[in-house]
Amino acid sequence: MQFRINTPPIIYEILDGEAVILNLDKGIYYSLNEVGKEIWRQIGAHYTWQEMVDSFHSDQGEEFVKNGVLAFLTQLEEEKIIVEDKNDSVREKLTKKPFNTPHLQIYHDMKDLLLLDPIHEVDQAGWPVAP
Amino acid sequence: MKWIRQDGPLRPEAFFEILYAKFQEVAPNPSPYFIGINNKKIKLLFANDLFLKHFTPALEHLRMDDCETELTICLWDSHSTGSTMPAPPWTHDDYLPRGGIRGWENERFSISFQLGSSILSFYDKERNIALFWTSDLRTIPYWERGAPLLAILQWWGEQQGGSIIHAGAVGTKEGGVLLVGKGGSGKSTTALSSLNSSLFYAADDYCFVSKEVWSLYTSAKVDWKTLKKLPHLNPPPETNEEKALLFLYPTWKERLVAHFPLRAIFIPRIAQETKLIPCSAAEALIALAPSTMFQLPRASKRAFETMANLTRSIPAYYLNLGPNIPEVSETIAEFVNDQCHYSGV
Repeated sequence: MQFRINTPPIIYEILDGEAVILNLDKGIYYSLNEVGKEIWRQIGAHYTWQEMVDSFHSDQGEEFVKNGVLAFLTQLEEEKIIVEDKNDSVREKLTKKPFNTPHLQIYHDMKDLLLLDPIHEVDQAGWPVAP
Repeated sequence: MKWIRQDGPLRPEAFFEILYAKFQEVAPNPSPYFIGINNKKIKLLFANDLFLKHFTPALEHLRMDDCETELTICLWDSHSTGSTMPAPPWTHDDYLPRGGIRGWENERFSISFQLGSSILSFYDKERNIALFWTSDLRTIPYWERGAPLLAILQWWGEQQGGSIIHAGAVGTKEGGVLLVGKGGSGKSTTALSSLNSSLFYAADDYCFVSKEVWSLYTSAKVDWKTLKKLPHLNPPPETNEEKALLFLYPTWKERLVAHFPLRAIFIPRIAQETKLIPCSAAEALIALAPSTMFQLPRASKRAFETMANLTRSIPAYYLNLGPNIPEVSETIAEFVNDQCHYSGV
C-alpha cells in the first residue's frame, strides 16, 4: 500500500531536515521526530509500507519496526495528513537506518481560530448579520 | 428565508460586476484616500466621508497624495448609503472556515465573507480592483478597525511576491527584527515598549514582508493588564472590549518606521532574565506560520512558502523576556546595531 500527502488541506515545509506541517482545514499543526521525518520523506517518494519497514533496523527486531511504522502511518491517516494512493514511479533502494518509535507532535492550541462563527440572523437580502 | 438564485450557476465574474455596479450606484462621488505599501500605491474609494473617517485611523501613517495606483479598493456599507445589497448567490452551507465560500474562488477572483464581522471582501486580480462591503459600518468590530482590509491586502500582497504575516516588527531604518509567536507570548509588550527606546516601531500584530518588512497599521491591540505595564502609552479608560485599541499616529509619529531590512526573527517568551538564544529555522516557522495561516482570511500556500523562505534566509532566536522591560528593548537595539555594523550598514 502506498500513500500521498493530503494536499491541499495539508501544507508542509522541510527546513534543515525538520518538517513543519499544517492542516488548514482543522487548525492543527505538527512536527516530527527523526524517524518520523524519514518516513515522511519516504511517503513523499511513494514507498510502500513494506519498503518503509524494510528500510529500518532495530535491536528489538523486525516486528518492533513493523508495528512502529504501521502505527505511525495509521496515525497520519487518522489525522488526514496522508491518504492512500497508488503510484508506479521508480523508487531507489533505501539504505537501512536505525529505528526508534516515530513520533508525531500534535499542536491543538490554535484550532479554535478555525471555528466557524454560527449564523444567528440574516438580513432581508440573506447576508449573515454580525453577532 | 429565500436565497435568490439565477437559473444555472452565477459565476464569480458576473457577481463581481453586479457588486461593482452597486458600488458605483451608491457612491457616484466617492471619497478617495491614497496609501503606499511595499513601494506600491493603493487607492481606497470610500462611499462617503463618514466611512473614511471611521476606517482609516490605522492607515494614516501610510497616507499619500493623489497618485497613480496599482490597486483600487471600493468600500461601502448599506446603512450609511441607504442602500440594499444584492442577495448572495450561495447558501449558509457554503461558508467555510477562514472566511472561505465554497466554489467561489478561481484563478482570477478571491472572495471571503467573515461571519464574525459580517464583512465581504472580493478581489479581481486581473483588473486589480477589490470590493469591501459590510451591512453597517457602526458594527465593524474594533479588531477590524485596527487591522482593516487584511484579506484584500493579503491577496494583493501575495501577487507582489510577499505576504502579510502575524508578527510585530521593531528596529531602525537600517534594520530590524520580527517578533513572532502566538498571543500572550510578550510580542505586543515587546513591540510597544520599543516606543520608549532607541528603536522604532513598525508593527504590533501584522506587517507585510517581501524583500523588507513594511508597516501596515499604526494600531496596537493590547489587553488591559499589559497596558498597565506601558504607562508611556497614556492608557485610555478601560472599556468592555476584550482589548484596548490604540492608534499610535500622530502621537508617536517620530518613533514610527515605514519599512526596514530584516535582520532576524525573534520568538519572545517569558523568562527569568532577558537574553537571546539561537533557535532553528523550523522553530521559527512553527512560531510564525500557524498563527498567520489560521488567522489571516484566505492566506494561501504561497504565504506559507514566503514564511518558510524567510526563516531559511535570516537567523532566529528565542528572546527570553526578563522582568525589566527597558532591558528588552536595549537587547534588541544592541543586536540590531551589531547586525547593521557587521553588514557594513
